[in-house]
Amino acid sequence: MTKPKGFVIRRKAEPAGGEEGKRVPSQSSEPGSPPVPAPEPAPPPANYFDAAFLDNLAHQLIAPLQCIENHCQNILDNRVPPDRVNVRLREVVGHARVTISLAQRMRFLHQLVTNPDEHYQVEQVPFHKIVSQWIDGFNNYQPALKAKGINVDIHHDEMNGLSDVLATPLAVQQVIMNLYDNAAKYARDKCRIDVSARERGSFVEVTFRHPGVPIAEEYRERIFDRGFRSPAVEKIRAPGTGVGLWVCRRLMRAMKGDIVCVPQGLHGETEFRLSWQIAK
Amino acid sequence: MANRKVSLLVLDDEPWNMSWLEDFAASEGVELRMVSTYDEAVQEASKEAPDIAVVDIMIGATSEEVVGVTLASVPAEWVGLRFVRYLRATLARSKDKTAIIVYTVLDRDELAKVVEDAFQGVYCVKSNVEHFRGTLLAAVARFKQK
Repeated sequence: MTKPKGFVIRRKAEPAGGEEGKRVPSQSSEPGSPPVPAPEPAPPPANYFDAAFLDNLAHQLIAPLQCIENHCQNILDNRVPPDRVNVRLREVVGHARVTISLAQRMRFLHQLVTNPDEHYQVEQVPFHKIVSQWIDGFNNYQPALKAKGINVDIHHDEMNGLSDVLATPLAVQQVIMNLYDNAAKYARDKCRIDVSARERGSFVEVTFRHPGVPIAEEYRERIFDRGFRSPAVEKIRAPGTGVGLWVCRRLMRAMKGDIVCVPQGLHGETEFRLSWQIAK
Repeated sequence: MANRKVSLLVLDDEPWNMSWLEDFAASEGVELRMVSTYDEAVQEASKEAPDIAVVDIMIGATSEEVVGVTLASVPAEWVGLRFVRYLRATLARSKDKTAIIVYTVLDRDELAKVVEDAFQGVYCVKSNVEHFRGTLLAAVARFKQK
């Protein structure tokens, strides 16, 4: 079962070919005649993002709910030793909390999409709590990252000592999830993601960096446009819709911070810098 | 031999499933091995072929494939399906008979059909806890009676 991840609105992708199943082949009308290219996939319908939103929500809620059902069914069937029932019930509570948190984030994102100019209520957040979210985000994406041999260095010792910032915890969580989601798709296999932070003027700035699909200079701003996908990403047929970074920027700016992509030369590293205002 | 120790190998990248499956297996007297990657799964299966293999079919699927895509084929990239292919290729050469149960978190009728067409004899259970547990229990009972 797939664990819940950061919400990213998706569009349909072309089905991948397989050993048993085959991609739709190019068709040739006559022997020797040039192949007729497969038809272009139809554009997503106008309400696709709404539909994908609901489908994604359903998917993300099912996994923890099924865990809850399985634990409860085990307890009801007397499959859990009496001395372990409390432990399992605590796990059930944990799954329920995850489910509630997911539902809250979905509602939050709904607000984001329907009221794009709204500014969110920010609160003073100790920076170590944001560091914890980076660690939680990594744990959440660990299976996907592990599958690509990707590891993460979070410089938590230095980060934990930084000033409190103005933020909205749900928005922070969403931004972090989306960045890990991107890294799981676009980071180079067997690389390391580096997460560090420093204070810069009246902001705390987090750097999220990894080697991966290079982002050309002319696209460093456009990648934050809704629906934009760089040619390099399209070329490798990476999944995605070009919405995740748009969501990140919307959320960061709604918290009166920002996210930018900065050039990294030699190794084609992708580097995002996220800034949160320091709480006075 | 009645009531023999049935072995169960689970390939799932969702660590949450581990604890309830442990309770489930222990209460049935089933020997459980849980792995989360293809390599681990192959390593365990080659050590000793399990009686029952439970495979999360969509490990390695992209989010687009998980959500909303109508599949026309079995994607080669899916780790769970690669392991099913491995098991079937291995089992074809051996006398061991492993029951293969594949599942997904979503009810995807067309996915079940694609899998059943590609892998005849593989149980494809629905995203329904009762159905999943029932299928697993039936398989365990069958092997206990062997």
